[in-house]
Amino acid sequence: MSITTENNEKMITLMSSDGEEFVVEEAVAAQSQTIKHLIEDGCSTEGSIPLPNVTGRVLSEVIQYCKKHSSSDDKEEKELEAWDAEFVKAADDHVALTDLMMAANFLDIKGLLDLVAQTLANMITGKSPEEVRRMWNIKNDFTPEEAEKVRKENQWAFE
Amino acid sequence: MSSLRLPSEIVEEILARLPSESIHRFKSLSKSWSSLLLSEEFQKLRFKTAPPVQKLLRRPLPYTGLKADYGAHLESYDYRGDEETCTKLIFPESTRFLFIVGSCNGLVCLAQESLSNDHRDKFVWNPFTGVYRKLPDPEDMSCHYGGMQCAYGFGYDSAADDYKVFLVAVRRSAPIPEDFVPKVQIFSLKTGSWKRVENPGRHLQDIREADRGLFLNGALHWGKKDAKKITAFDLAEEKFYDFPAPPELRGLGHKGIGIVGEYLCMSCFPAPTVQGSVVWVMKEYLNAKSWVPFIDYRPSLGGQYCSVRCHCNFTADSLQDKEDEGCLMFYMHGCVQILKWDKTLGKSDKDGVDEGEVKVSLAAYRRYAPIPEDRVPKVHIFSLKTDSWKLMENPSRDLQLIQEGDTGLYLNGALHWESCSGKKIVAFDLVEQKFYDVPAPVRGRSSAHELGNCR
Repeated sequence: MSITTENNEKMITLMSSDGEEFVVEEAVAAQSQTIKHLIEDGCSTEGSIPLPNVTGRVLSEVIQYCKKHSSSDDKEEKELEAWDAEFVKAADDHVALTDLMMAANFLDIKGLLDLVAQTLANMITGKSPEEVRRMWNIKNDFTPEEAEKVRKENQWAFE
Repeated sequence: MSSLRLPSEIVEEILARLPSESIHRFKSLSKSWSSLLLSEEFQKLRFKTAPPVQKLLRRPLPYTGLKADYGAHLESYDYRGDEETCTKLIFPESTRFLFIVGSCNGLVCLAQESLSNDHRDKFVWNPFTGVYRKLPDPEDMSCHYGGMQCAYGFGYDSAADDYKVFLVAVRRSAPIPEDFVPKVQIFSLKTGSWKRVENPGRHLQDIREADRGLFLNGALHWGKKDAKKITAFDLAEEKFYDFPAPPELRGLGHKGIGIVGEYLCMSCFPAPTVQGSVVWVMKEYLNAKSWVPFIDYRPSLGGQYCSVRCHCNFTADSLQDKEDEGCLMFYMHGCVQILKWDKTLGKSDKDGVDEGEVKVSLAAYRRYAPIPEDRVPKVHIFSLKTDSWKLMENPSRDLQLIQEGDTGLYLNGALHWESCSGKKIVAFDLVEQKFYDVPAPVRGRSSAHELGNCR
C-alpha cells in the first residue's frame, strides 16, 4: 500500500521481524539497496515490506540514519560527520553496534556499514585477542602448541 | 542480550579497517580469524577499504656516511586533508639493504642483498596484512655473472589475475655491444615459477641497474636516455612495445619517467645547459599527440633540481575513485614535496600557480615537507680500534634532510654537511663526537649551494 503525503512524497511501510511497522518516505528507505530492489520488484504495492532479519529497535535506528542522510547533498559535510559520531555513540556498546552492522549489511546501506564497521574496528584496535574473544564469544580453537607457533611468527606485531 | 553470532562477512568488514599491527595480533585469535586474515580475498578487501591517496615511497633513512639504519626502510605517507601522517612499515626480514622493485594494488616487491649469494633475495609483501613470500631464485642465474647485473620490475596482469616480477640482465659496464640481447625472465606469483621470455629483442639493451620498470596500464615502462621513446613491456602478452616521448624533450637530458595520478609523465632538463626540470604528461595512454607540458621548473641560480620521483602507485584504485584529486611527489630542495592537483589537467592553465620557483599549471597546489619535525636521525659510529659500532646520543636534527649518498666532507678532524636551508653547515667532530654548526656565507643562503673542499 503506498500513501502520498501533502508534499507529494511517496510513503512506504516497513515491517520489522517483531511486527513493528514504520511508515517512511520512499526516498529515505531507498537508501537501502535491498529495499530499493524490493520496491522496484513491486513488493511495496501489496502492503508493508517485511524485513525478517531486523528488529524494531534496530530498524528505528536505521531509519533515523537514513532520514538524516537522505537530504545530505545540501548539508554541511562537517555537520553530518558530527551527527554520525553522535549516532554511533548513542548505540552505546559493541552488542548494539554489531546488531546495527548486521542490519546495515542485510539492508545494504553502504554509508552506515562503513560507519559502524569503522567504529567497531576502532573499538578493538588496541585490544588483546583475549578481550576480543570475550566481546563476541569467540572460542580459541588453537592448541597451545599452535598458538605458540602463531605467536612466534608474528612476534614483531606484539612488541 | 542479542545473539552475538558474527557472520564472516561482518567480521571481514570490521577487520579490513584495522591497522596492520592489530591484524597481526588477531591472527592468533582463532583458526577461522587466522585463515580469514591470511586469505587473498581479505587482502583485496583490505586494500579497497584503505584510505585514499595513501602512498608508499622509499625514503632512505639518513645516510650519514657512517652507517645507515637499514632496518626499517619503508614509510607510508597518508596525505589526506591538511595533515599528513607517516606510518613506518617494518618488513620482518629486513636486515640488509632493501629496495623497492615496485608496488601495485597494495603489494610491494622488494629486493634485498643476500649474504650467502652474489645476487638479491626477492620478496613480495603485503604491508597491510604483513604476509610476505620469498621468491625462489631464477633457474638461469647467468645474469648474475660475467659482468652482468639485474634490473627489475613488478606489476599486475589483470587478464590472468596474476602478479609478475620482471628481471632483465644488465651489462655492468659500457660499451654495450650492438648485438647484445638482454635476457628477460618473468616470475608468476600464481605458478610460483620463473620463465624465460623468448626473443625479447634489444629494447632494453641500454637499461641500467637502477632503472626499475614503472607499472602502469598493465605494463612496465622505461624511459630512454636520449628521451626519444619509452619502452614498455605488456605483462599479459609478455611482449615489448615502444612509443614516442614528447618531441619537445628530444635531446634534453632525460631524468626519468613517473606517474601523475593515472598518467604517465616524463621529466627532462629544460635545456642542455639549464638546471631544473620540465615534466610532460601523457593525457591519453599511447596517444603520442596527447603529451602536454605539466611542470616547468628553472631555478634562477642553478643548483638543486626537482625531478619527478617514480612514486609507487600504492592505491591506484582508490585514486581513481576520487575523480577530482590526486597528488604528485617530486624531489626538490632535498626533500620530498607533494603537489595536490585538480585532475582536470590542461583546463587548469588559467589558474596556474606560481609559487616560488616552481611554475605549475594546477588548479590546487600544495606543498608538504613530509618529515616530522621531531624526527631525529640515528647516527652510528664505527671505530676501527674498538672494532665496534656505537650509537650517538643527541644527534643533530639538521641531518634530517640529508640524502642517501651525501658523504660527509672530512676536514679539520670533522665531517661536514650542508644543511637543507643553506644557512649553515653542519659538522661532526670526530674526536669530541659532537655536532656543531658553521654559518654559511650570507650570499649563498636559500639559493643553490654545494659544499666542496677547495684545495
